[in-house]
Amino acid sequence: MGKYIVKRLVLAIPTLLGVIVGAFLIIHLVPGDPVDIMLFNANPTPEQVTELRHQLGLDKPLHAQFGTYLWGLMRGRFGESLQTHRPVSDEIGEKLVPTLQLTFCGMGIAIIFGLAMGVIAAMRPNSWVDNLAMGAANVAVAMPAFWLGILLILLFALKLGWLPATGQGGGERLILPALSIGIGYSAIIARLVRSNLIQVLDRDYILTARSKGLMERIVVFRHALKNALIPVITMIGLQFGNMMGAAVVIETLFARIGIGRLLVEAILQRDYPLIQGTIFVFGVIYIASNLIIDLLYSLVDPRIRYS
Amino acid sequence: MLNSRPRLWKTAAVVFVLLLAVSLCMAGGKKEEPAPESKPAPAPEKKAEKVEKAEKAMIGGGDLVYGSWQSPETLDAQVSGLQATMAMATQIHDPLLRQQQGSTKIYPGLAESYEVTGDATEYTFYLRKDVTFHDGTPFNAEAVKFSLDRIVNPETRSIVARGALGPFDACEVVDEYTVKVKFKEPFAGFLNMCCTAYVPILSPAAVKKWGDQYQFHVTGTGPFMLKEYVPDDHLTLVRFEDYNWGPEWDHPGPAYVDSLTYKIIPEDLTRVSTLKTGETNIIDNVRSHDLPDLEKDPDVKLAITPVAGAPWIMLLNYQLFPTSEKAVRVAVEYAIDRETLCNLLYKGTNEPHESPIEKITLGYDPEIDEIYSYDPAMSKKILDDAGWKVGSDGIRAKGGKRLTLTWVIWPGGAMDEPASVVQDQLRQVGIEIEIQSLDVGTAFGLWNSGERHIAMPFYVWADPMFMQSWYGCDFIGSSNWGHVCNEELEALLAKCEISPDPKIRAAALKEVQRWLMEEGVTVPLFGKSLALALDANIEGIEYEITGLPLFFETHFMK
Repeated sequence: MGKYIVKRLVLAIPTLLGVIVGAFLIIHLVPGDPVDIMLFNANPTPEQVTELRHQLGLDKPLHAQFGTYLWGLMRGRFGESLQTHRPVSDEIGEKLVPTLQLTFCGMGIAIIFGLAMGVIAAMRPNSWVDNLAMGAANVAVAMPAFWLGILLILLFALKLGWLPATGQGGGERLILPALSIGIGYSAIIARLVRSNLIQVLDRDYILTARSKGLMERIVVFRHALKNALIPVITMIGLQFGNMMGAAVVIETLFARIGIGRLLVEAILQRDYPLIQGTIFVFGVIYIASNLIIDLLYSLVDPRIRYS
Repeated sequence: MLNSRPRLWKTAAVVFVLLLAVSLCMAGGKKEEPAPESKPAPAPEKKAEKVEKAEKAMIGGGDLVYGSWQSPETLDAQVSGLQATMAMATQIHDPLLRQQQGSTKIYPGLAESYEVTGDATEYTFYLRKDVTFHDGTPFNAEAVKFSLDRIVNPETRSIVARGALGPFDACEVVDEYTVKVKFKEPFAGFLNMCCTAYVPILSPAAVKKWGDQYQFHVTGTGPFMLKEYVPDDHLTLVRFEDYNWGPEWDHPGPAYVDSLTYKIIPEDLTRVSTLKTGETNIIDNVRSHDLPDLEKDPDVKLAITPVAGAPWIMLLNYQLFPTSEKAVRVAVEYAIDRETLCNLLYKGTNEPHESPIEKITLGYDPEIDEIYSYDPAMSKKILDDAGWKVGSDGIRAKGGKRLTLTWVIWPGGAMDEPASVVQDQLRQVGIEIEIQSLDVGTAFGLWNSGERHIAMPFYVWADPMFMQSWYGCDFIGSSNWGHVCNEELEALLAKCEISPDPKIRAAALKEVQRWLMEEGVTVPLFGKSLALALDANIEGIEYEITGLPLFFETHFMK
């Protein structure tokens, strides 16, 4: 197992290098100049434009800029944001934790509701309980997270006044944003859990367990659920990265600081070092979450062993 | 499957019931507010009594919470390129001189008086002697020199403030409280810029102490001082207790409120909600579709203020066919119904505008508004006379080329709505508009490269000096988005900056505007205003000449 982890970590390096080169090339080759954007409100003279471009090192040829960037990376420096002049590591550091907080919480809600709905539905297939759960899941999947977020603000913040509409941190300020993200994903998980569990509950060994006289609860939770969960775990791992991206919309709506919002604004402003740094961090998170999911398999399914 | 049909119906029924339940929760009207007691009309009173009464009705202290749509990229007003930063900086820094909206009269600020040479190349400021910075260090000529030098230093990477200093040459300390600012060329606009936050005077001690962390410890002489700044989230300012150099028309001593917090809330709906839930008590960038709802709320009032600079304006590409043809440009001028545009999109906030300079800015002249009027028949005649024949689909063509203009906008710039309305209006006279919505970087690049026909900027600026950079040959590729370059215009533009006398400048600017409008280079659409919504018990908001709100005199009423 240990050797497997090391192998995966070593393989991660060329992947990350590809991410860095890809991000650098794409953002530099796309039209749009960060200096022009910065000076939009400034009515600069052409001399001022040239001067600023030179100050920021943007008048050097592309391969020279990449070389400088890579050299900085190897010494652990991600450069400075073109807009704020603050170190990229500071910007990302401040904003990564709130997004992770939001994403984990949203994922938690998605897993809890999704598992609950899926198991309940699978235990009574084609009953009114099943239909209600799956109907609700269909509605939840169809609702855009942003729209759901607005509805939640209108109901819980404006009409009822139970929860605040904005703000950082956890506690009551995290509930509405996490729900906005989590509900849609819970539906996806619910549907997958239900269909997998129904299939598993049809298997011979389940019939054996039932005929042994085991309580249905034990049959489902101890024997069936684990086997139904393997594809679900894959999906959760994949969706985690997506959820971080979807967080940008929710972060903007609820006025929360976060790395999704940071990236979108950086792209619009062509803030090269900030874009590259943020994409690098996203790459690391994707690779890490995939690795964790793969390791989780071997916990859930004893047939899977990594050498 | 055997039982799929009834299953489908069941699912549909469940979905329908759920949707019904959700919409019933949302509908049902707002919480009913108790009707306000009607107050009797006040009897006529003498001014002194009125002021005394006002002060008695005031609650001292209190905390203002302002919901801002835009996040500053840095709090360092000398570096920033964003209005959000200026709005905050104007509470932290005092200007050298003061102006009131709509008037060209200059009042003392940090400078008690000033002199300017007849050719507008040298300004001398005689500074107040009783001012200190928030960190206790004294305000003096050295501080002014330090601040101006810092703005022009390339290492500062100043964006907007650099433009406010124009052809800056040097700043000289004459004695402890006298400073001279010299320019390489006549620069008449400097006086207006000194009345804004765009030329902030900073504490040299604070800058030296904090270095590159300075933006978290911004230090000025203004009525509010920085307590805390969390980028993209909020900014807390507290009252500067030693403050005693406010505007002469306001109260003496420090500000009334204890603190002023800016919260960054980019989403319109969320921002309006926070006003209602009490998380904020003032919000900005109120959209016209929110107005009817806010007007009905007795606990909320609106403050719509005009803004100085350039209005929302279409710049037609002077060099690219077919907008390179004067007939086409003039036809566009006649074909736009500004009244309908504003009624449709901006009822209650923005007003139609027909000249290249905003109403409260120096150089605005109502005679320029008279040059054109909405006259589609005239527009059609001009195009007919120029050989543009209407085709079978209603769009004109000449020599095999369709009269199609490309217009580049970006989402989030609120440009799509006016562009669509104008597109429809121009179609009525046979001009086809192709609207391209791209991301801001790409779109802006196209504005600069001149590959599209229409650009639509607006500009908040205290002084009409921007006319130089919008219409001057030197600025093609940076801020001359109409790509206009003409000898006659250059000569007219040159006359606008050579004398500091507002009357002379206004006369020169009138000629420039007349040229621009008659050539059809610029098509003004509507004026910009700053729309604030605030709690009804807040009084005393004043405005800088640019339209930015000032909270020195602001207080809560009982």
